[in-house]
Amino acid sequence: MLRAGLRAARLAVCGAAVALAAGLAAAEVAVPALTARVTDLAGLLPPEREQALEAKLARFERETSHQIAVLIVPTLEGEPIESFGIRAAEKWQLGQRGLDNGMLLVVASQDREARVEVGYGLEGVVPDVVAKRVLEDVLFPRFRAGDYAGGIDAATDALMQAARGEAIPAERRPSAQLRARGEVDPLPTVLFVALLGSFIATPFRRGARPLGALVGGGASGLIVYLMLASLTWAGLAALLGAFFGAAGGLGGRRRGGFGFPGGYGGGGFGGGFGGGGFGGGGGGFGGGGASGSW
Amino acid sequence: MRARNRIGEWLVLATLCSGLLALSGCGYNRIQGADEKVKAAWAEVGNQYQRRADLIPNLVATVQGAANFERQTLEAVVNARAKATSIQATPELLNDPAAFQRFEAAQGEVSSALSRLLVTVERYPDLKANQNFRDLQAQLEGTENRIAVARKRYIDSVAEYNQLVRYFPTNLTARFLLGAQVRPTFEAREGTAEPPKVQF
Repeated sequence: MLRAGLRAARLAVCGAAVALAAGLAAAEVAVPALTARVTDLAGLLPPEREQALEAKLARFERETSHQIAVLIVPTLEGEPIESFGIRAAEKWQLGQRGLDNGMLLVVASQDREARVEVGYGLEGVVPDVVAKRVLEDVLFPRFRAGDYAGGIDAATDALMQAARGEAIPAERRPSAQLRARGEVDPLPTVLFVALLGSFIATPFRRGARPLGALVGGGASGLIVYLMLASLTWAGLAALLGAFFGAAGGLGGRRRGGFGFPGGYGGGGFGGGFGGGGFGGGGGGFGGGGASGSW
Repeated sequence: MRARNRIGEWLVLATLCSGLLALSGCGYNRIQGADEKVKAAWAEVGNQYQRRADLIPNLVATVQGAANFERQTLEAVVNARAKATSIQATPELLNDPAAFQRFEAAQGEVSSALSRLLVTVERYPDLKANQNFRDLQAQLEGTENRIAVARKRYIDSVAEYNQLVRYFPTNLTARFLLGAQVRPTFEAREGTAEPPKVQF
């Protein structure tokens, strides 16, 4: 009861702090950049346990394509953990785009609070009740006993086990999925249109080379803008179009004309696949999950 | 001859350039896109409030099971729910600020009735320990958090949309071409950034 009273008082203070933060937007604890599956800013985990956890989560992702990450911070400086959790989830975008199969375990060690954020795609197999039980029955008893590494290990095990219920069929795994998505990949489009623009520019180029550049650039920029509705890509297309428009397009008659080496491979996509660093795959979160304090 | 061709070329070029400028400057596509985002965000707000409304009958049934639980508190929740579910979160609501306010007020009443109920539960240790109740409580907390997230995303999407509708030059397109109006939004009331947290 006393604790509840204290909490109510703290929440009132938090409310004021949040109102203030909305004005200043500076008081919030920054979400670190995502570089690994386990980010321990509080030094709660011994290095070898952290590595083991990292390896376990990486293996799980290879098997299921679900992305699970752990973020440990010392304190949230009064921000509710739900608010911090969704900020981290939105920034990190765990889970694959379109599948939204990511999960994030947030621990604020000094605040003695933890939260599980569950991506849209896993809400079915990890409903709030399951997330809550993982915290209350698996994580917190070990935390209370001071076994932080053991608690996080067991809690991620429990989350992994629950998430296995959401099997992603092989053809929906990210590699197959990107091909099937049928979205226009911007870069090849831009290159193609820029070449097209240079053809449009051919008659103008006979007049003057800068005019060819302008027409090639203008036409390419316009077409790409209409196709992709993106000024950035349109600008790039305009630049390329201007260049090709002036130079004489692909394999032009002019000396110094150039051809394109080989074909163009599909654009690379973010996602924790392949060795090296770790990144979110573009999964979405809507505030599902549970929080609690130990 | 050559000079005349030049003029023709420059005309084509000018047309192309001004076409591009007009398309990017008037904001027609941007307003339409922002409007779609607002509607999607609003639909999500409606979904999450509906999800909460769907939880309430279970919660009431579970609480009722507890010996002589205060009838008044329960009735307040049931009545507030009935009132709130009578106002659907349709896209049309976004064109009617008064109806939007009624929706917001009705949902606000559900929130406060629910928090009174959960404060009252504090006095019933058996109920607090009941696994069924604890599960419902976890679901309710999760739903309140989803509502908070959906509301925040709605507020953000409306801010973007309203800016297009109000600022020059896109406001011209909004007014004369699309007849677009400024959309109503939620007051950033205290505690919007966090779910009304239920603690026991």
